[in-house]
Amino acid sequence: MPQRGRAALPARRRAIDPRSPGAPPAIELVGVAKRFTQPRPWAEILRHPFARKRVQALEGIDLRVLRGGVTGLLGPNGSGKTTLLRVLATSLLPDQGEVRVLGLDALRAPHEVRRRVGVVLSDERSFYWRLTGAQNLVFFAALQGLDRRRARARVAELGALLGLGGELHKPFRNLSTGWRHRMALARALLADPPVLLMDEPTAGLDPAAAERARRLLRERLAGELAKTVLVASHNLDEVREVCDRVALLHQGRLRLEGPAAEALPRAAEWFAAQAGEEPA
Amino acid sequence: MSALAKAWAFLVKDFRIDLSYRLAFAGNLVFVLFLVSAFYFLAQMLQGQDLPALRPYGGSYFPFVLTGVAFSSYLGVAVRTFADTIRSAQVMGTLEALLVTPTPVGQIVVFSSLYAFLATSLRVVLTLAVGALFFGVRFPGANWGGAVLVLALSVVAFSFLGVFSAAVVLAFKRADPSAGLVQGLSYLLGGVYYPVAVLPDWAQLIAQALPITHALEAVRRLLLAGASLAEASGPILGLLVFTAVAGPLSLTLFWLAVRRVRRDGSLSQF
Repeated sequence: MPQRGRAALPARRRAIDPRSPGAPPAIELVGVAKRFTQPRPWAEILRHPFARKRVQALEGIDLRVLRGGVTGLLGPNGSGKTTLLRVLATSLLPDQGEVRVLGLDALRAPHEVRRRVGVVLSDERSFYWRLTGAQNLVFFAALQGLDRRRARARVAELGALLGLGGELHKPFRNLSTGWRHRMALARALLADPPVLLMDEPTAGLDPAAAERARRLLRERLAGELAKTVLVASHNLDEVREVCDRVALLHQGRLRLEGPAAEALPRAAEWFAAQAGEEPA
Repeated sequence: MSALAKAWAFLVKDFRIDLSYRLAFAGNLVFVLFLVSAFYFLAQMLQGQDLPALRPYGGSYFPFVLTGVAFSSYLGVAVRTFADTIRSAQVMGTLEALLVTPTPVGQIVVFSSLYAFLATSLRVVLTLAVGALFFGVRFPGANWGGAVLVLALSVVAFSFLGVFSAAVVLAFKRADPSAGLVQGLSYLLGGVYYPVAVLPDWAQLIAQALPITHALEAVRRLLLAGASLAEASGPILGLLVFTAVAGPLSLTLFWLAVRRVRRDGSLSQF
């Protein structure tokens, strides 16, 4: 059992969703740690050829997210939010710890986990820009295991759900940032996964588009479709608006977590204190 | 959904992307015509000369070089396409989006390369067709069935070189220099433009370690000399030995490279 860094955390295991305390968790992390090796300048390599410069991206993360609702993964840039999402998406292996999604071991059965998790990447480049939105979605649907007929039906269904309309049939390169974000969300929903991981879902959107995206997340995804959503964000207002629960990450450690109403004021204080400590 | 349907999805996607670059698509077709014409005129220069090194292949240079150029393009595509696929997905940013789907990474790499192989096959057919229709090349008594079989084996053998190269690109984010070396040596020593028999002894020895030498020897015996599979068994055995050695080695290296990038988090870096 990995123990690294756990002393820094409260000993009790925390349940995120207050609405269903007895339900099995959608996401469970136990003692997850990840360190990255940093590149070194040549002069340093020549002086100490066998030394390694390492950065602790995650340390002793214990987290349970019960099914349903929106959990905000809050933290400043470089706090480990994206690393944590990538571990959950199985695109990154942790150095230590256990990762379970809907009871499945993400390290032993990554393909099974990928069937059940939709990932909204913040990178717009993750689409084929020469194809239309619909052609992109049909292609990714095939990789999710949908046959062509089901893929087309699903794309039409998601087009209606997310209001994609005629944008679906425009080349991806001609879409605005807002529409590209919606395409990314549509892609994550193709296989109708019960768990959604979203990395900075409103980054780069204008205020109106960001508000639409938040409403969609709150009302449609978490509300009507009852998805479990884990949103990484550094935007306190956004988290306040959409999240039921909040977890705060800083320098790879989980600093606090709890219901949004209780945790957010503490998170806001923490952010203010951090800003005060740093030179302008 | 079957792997076949996923393979089809990759083919459709890559065909659409290729077609969206209309000028390059048309340019590739015209290039074949120019290439075959150039070799035809080169062959005209050698017409009527008795070249002992060409006797096992019917004695005429144009069919010899036509088959060499046509089939060696499989080597080029096999060595490059897997690594190019990974590299372009890293640079374009699609790699992580592909790898968070339930489709295994091996399938993603192989299926991403299918279109390149299909396009190459069309180019090979076009090359031979241009040679036959415009320049009167004939393949009397050719063993086409045997040639297709050898071609399939050659593609597998060449692909293991490509998988090795893809592993290097995945792990180190840079083009694999050994791929260029193998490709260069193959064109220099593998009998693409001239028979291996004209090379010095030491170079012929090196040529035996290259899969293209065996592939072209077998294909030419089957197409130009009308040999049976049994009569071409020597070079076919050479291809099989190469495949048996290179296959497990390159697949293991690729698996290690995937594991490495999943550990160091460099999947989408380039």
